[in-house]
Amino acid sequence: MLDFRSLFCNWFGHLVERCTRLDQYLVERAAAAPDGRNKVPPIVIDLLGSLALLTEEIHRKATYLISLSAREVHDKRSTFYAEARAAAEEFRRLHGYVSHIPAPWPSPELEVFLRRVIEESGYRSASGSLERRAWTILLSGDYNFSHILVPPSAASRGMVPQNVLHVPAAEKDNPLIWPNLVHELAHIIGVESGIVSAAQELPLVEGKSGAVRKVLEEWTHEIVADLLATDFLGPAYFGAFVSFVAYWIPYSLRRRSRWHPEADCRVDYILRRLREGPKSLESALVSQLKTEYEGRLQLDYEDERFRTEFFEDIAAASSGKSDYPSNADLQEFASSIVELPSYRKVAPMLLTEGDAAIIEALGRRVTSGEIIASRREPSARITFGSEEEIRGKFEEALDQLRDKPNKIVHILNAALLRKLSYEDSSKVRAGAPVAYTTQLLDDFCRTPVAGSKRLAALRRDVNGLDLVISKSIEGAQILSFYQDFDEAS
Amino acid sequence: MKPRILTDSEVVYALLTNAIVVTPLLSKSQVGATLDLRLGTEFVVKKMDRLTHIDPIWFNQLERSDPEVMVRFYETVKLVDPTTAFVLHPGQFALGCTLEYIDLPPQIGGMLEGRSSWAREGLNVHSTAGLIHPGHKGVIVFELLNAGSHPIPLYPGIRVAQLLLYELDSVTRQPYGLRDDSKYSRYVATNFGRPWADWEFECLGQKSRRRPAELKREEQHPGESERAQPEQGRSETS
Repeated sequence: MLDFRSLFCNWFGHLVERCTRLDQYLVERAAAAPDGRNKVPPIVIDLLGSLALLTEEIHRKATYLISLSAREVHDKRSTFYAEARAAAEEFRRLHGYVSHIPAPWPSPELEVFLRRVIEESGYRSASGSLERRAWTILLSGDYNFSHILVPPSAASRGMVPQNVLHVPAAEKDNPLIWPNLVHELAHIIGVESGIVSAAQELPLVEGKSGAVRKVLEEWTHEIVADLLATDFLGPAYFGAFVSFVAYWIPYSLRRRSRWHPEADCRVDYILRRLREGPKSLESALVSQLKTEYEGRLQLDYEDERFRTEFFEDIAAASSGKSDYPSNADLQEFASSIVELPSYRKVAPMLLTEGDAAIIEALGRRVTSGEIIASRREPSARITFGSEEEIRGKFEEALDQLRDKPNKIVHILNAALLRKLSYEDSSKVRAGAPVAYTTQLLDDFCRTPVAGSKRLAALRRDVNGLDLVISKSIEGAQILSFYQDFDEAS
Repeated sequence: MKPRILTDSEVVYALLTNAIVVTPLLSKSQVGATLDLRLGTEFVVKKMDRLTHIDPIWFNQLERSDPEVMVRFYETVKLVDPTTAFVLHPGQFALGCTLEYIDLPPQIGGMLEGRSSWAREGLNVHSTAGLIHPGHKGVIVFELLNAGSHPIPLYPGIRVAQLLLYELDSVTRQPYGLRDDSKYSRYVATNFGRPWADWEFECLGQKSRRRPAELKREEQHPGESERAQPEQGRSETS
């Protein structure tokens, strides 16, 4: 049976969380602006005003609705939607003005994060398209991948094409959403490694009629990027994808377009790929995320008005069947792509049960010193059984000591695990897929955001892993800086 | 019985079996009779313009009212790029930390010392607090002081210190991280000292007559108490 109230609270929890992050970002941005620049432009003032109105409206209504029964919620929702929708639309209109920030603030953490993910995956760019100057990150209003032509430098003639990864400004500090950016980076990898062109020549594509074939060719970019991001990051990508697709305000990704299939199909082939990985991760992470995603869809179908006004109409978009490949075709297509030699050459090994064990250790809410665990694996690599043996072969033993900090894929999945397993025995309803976010809503809506002790506790809990992420990234950066010299010597 | 200092082979064996965790261990050259430790990416300095003097009684009360309040007296400098230096000027004091996260078992402790090469330039890495307790988990904080005559550029990732490991005769009953008064356990970044968190200052604060007025003033006018400190301090000493 549909738990309407919890799903409803879930959605607004995310909305308020997102608004709060945007609010924080704008405050930081104003504080970091150089002297002489208008620190708080009028549009930002309007935006913040609208944001405050929206937050207040949600706060008021959610507090009211939580106190009602599920039946009453069902009866009164139309009034609530109308008011909340008006506030949300005003917010969206104003947000449009600042969605593209012409002079992006540098975001070194994001860049280092992406480089680390690629480095850990073992991918080596042949054409240099992943080199430092070949792409840039733009704080923007949405996730996207695009090319721009930049003016020539002293070393080049003519306009130079530059790959641009767009990341929503409001999400720049949320590592659990960053995997979406890995998907955008995978667009570059998919093209330059020849996976996309090889996939477009598969018999399944070439055997289709003109319109369907054209669509499949266009969608290949997106499918390859999805699969690569899944292989690079495991469930963490699925988590970011679900969060992005299910809760992002424009909702354009939910239905099919010229560039990508509908979200349901994408979820299907991502899930299929994930199920080839460790079973322990599937039970801990994947099933929960899938349930959350399906719950989100169920809410859409439950409320026609809500669906047509707030979200894109998925059913209508899916009704024109003639010019689009079927879901079965897409699943088969995705399965064929991962078998391509060019794909196997690029994609890293799937996560193992050993990885799952590290993720489980890092994901525990009460962690001790193992939170930055050494990646040395005694069972696999260590050949010395005693200290006496080392005395005889000291240099050989030293060779086995090379050590790296935790992999990003471990930390991200652990953070996700921690978030999903967050529980408070007094409030969690048995089996509720959205217990965590419902709890968040309570914290956000029932008490003033800034003064909430509960919210502070939530933040502190996640902050521990944030620090591990940054510490791990820094260690890896210094490691790679000295690695060449050390190996040569 | 006396504690025993670990040999290089014993250190390597302990590292290989994860009895001791030092991560990331970037180079073989870090391991010998002692473990060379690298400089981390975060440096913390006091904001000298805001703090007139250290009053542990007042700080104890202030921190109890808001655990985050002390942050405003410190400035953190973050240098992620290995080619960018934090310049430590002659006579300057700053806090840094190891790049390595160190996890010691309950029977192994460490003694932090500087490396001779840097010591000859006047760099001190600790100020009489070089003992690492058995059971320590987290980064080790450096109390950096330039006692030389020229500024010293400190790059993240360079080896500035060494850790001598010793083994106790038996396992300690209270490893550092499990003690009630362990203030610096499981940190992954440079953290400033908190001598005022000792229980003695809580006791002193409760018996001090000036506490309520100051605390009240701080609550009513945040930030003004720092400016009011010098006058109050003088009046008390006179």
